[in-house]
Amino acid sequence: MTAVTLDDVSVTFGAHHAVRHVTLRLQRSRVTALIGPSGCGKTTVLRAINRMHEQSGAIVTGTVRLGDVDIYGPGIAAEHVRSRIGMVFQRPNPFPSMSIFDNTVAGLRLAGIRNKRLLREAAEQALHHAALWDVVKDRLDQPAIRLSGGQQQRLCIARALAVQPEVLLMDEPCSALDPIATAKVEDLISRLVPDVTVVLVTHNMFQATRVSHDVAVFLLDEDRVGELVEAGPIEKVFSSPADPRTRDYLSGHIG
Amino acid sequence: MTGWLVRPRRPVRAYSVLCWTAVGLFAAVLAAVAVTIGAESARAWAHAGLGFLWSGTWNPARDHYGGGLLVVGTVVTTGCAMLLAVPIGLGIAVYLAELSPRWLSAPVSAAIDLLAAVPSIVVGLWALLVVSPFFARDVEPTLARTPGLRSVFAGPAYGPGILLAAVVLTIMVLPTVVALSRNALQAVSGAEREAARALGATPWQVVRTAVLPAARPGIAGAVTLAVGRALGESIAVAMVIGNRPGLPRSLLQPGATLGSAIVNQFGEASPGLGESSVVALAAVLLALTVAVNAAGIGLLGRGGPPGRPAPGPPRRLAESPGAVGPAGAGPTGLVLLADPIDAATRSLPRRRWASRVMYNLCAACVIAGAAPLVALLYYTIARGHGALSLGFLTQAPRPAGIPGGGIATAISGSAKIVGLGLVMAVPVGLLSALFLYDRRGKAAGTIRFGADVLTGVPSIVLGIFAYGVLVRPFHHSSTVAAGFALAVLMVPIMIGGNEEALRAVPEDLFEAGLALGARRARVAGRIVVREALARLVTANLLAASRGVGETAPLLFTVAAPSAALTLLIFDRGPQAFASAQQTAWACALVLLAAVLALGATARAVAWRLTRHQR
Repeated sequence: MTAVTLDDVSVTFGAHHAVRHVTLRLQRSRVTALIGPSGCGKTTVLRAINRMHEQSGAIVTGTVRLGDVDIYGPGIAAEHVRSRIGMVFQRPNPFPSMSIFDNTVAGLRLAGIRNKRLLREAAEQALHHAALWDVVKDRLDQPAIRLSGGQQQRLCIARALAVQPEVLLMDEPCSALDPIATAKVEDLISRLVPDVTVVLVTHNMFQATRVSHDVAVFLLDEDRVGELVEAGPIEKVFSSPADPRTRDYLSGHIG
Repeated sequence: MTGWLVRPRRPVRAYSVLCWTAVGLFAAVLAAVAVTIGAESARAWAHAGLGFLWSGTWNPARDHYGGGLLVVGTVVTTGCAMLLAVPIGLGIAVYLAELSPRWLSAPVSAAIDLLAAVPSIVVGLWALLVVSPFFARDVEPTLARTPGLRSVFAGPAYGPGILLAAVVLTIMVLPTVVALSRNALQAVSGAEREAARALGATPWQVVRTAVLPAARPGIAGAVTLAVGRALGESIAVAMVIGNRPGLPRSLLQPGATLGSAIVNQFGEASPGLGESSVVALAAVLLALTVAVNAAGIGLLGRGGPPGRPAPGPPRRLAESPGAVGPAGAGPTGLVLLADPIDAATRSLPRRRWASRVMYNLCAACVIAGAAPLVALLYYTIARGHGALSLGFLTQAPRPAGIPGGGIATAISGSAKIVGLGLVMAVPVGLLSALFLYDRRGKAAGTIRFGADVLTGVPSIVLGIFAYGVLVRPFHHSSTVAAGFALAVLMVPIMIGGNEEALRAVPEDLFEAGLALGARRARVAGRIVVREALARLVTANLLAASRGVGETAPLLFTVAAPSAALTLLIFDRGPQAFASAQQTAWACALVLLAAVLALGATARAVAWRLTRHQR
């Protein structure tokens, strides 16, 4: 089952091509890792999936479909897309002026939900889901930035989960964390499926191996523009890559 | 050979001595302002006691002096101005920082800078001759007829009055509100915006949820500094408020503020108690603005998110790896209690509509802020250019009411005063900034705070100060006294701008200098100053353009209105003769051109610098 379909997607910033001709199916209820060297367009593709690039003036061509709906189609609101496709960023970014509780339900409040009981229950669930409930249940009204870096990142995951998105995009969610916190977030990612489809950008091959089911390899082509080289189940791609460039890349990293 | 160990001691010591002297001078002036205003007003305080603060009568004939009604007038006028300026200014700042298309942001920002550069005397002239008749004829009668507003806008529509003064103040403090709040908004990290956006927030929800809360301290600081500016503005207010102290019962009635009363009373005050009482008004104004500005500086200093504690888990709690949700939860604890997506979808049209409305409101604020600027420029050019000719620029003024003559003495006088002020201010400003650049101790903090506070001291107070130390003791007005007043006004602006310019030089250049074996002071004096030169020039030019447009410091230090452009406008603008008004408009145009030329030069220098760096 395909959750998200990218069909011939290219992203340009002004005259600069960041990535082009990406055709990729992201399988439902699986973790797909986007890997590749830096600057090859992994994050760009990720941000094209929930229309986060519109603000930075990027132009996306091709089609991106959530289920069978073209998310760039006429009459589709970017806000709508983003409440179905959540995102977690490189650096934990809880709202500094909000408490832990307010952070967790920020997305629900933005959606116009005011019912206190509902918010309370949703917050508890999301925090449980992010394996943070036991840590924060006694201090929900403390500022979120009192939490450690790893806890902040899990709070951000809880915040994204509270909206109950179908897809969760994660842009190197562990790159700012220490090894222990990384292990916890990775553990969490593995347990997000099957409820959520996860798309994970990482430059860490080991992480990809640990948490993902599928992998998509991005490299720079001869014009130094990002392109998708190969995609498929991770065991297959890592053990017997179809493309020689994938093999070169992987052997350079893990060989 | 041990020659290389010998340090070049003497130049360093000379440099150090110079810096200390400059800072000492600045600190002395700072103290002298407080002491002079205090000493000069001592007689009034002794006469009236603290009752001066609330007694409402001001009757020089009976030696009865009280500033109570003026304090009330000042607070009411400032309050009304803030009611207008804060929403409009915040709207513009939000528009600029968050909502505007990128290509529009630069010209709007430039327009706001332009508005900030317009001398208050020009705003006053325009308000008196253009806005006031318009208000008296159209706006005020309409307000007085509007149900619900009738009680606030009762009474005859004069034109000049509290409402007009509040509008003038709004125009004057708007750039402060906009520029500082915009900085606060822009300082909010992009990560928080993205977080809100990724949750499906509309553009306005991003602003409301992620940006405004984080920028709150900065915005509070911006508003506070704007209040400080509004409290102290005297010349433009004196031109339009009607100058009749009284308990304000209607916003249409004439009023008076501390600043406007000083402007009007000081010249005709009797020596001794009368004069001392006016200085006491200045003392009240000084205390008020210093308190407000200190609060504003404190708020701005605390800008940004509350302090982040040291990273790392403060305590380790056992976390059950398979955290199971509440009863009835699925295998992973996720239950659909409500359908948030559904709620998000249902509320989206309403949320987008709200976002649209707020966007349009902010855009309307931009128009509301730009309209007075356009009108002001238009009228100044339209009414001023007719009189301009070579003869007008090169002939001496004739007395008001007699056609002909020019403004030659005013131009040369202004140039002389500003030039003298610059000669005094530039070295002190630069050396003090160098002093601050390399020191982080308590002394530097105090000086920096003093400079920030002095920047917010009303120029009318500085005028009284210069009068007290340089005019009265020598029994005559002088260009030197006027130049000194302007220097006191410009130095703190220069210190702030210069220090910022020096700090903009990358730290590693400073370290590279140190690595060559030079002393810190030497590196700062030689390498950093050279690297920062263009920015330093910009900062000083901007300070000079502030000085050129000032009126209040010259009011009591210059003998005749014909000896400075701003004074000539203040003298001729309110007169009934068409020729006098024409002279005022022409002066305003010349003044505006001079101020804008200085500002443009400053910006051109800065622009060249950035191009060079690219």
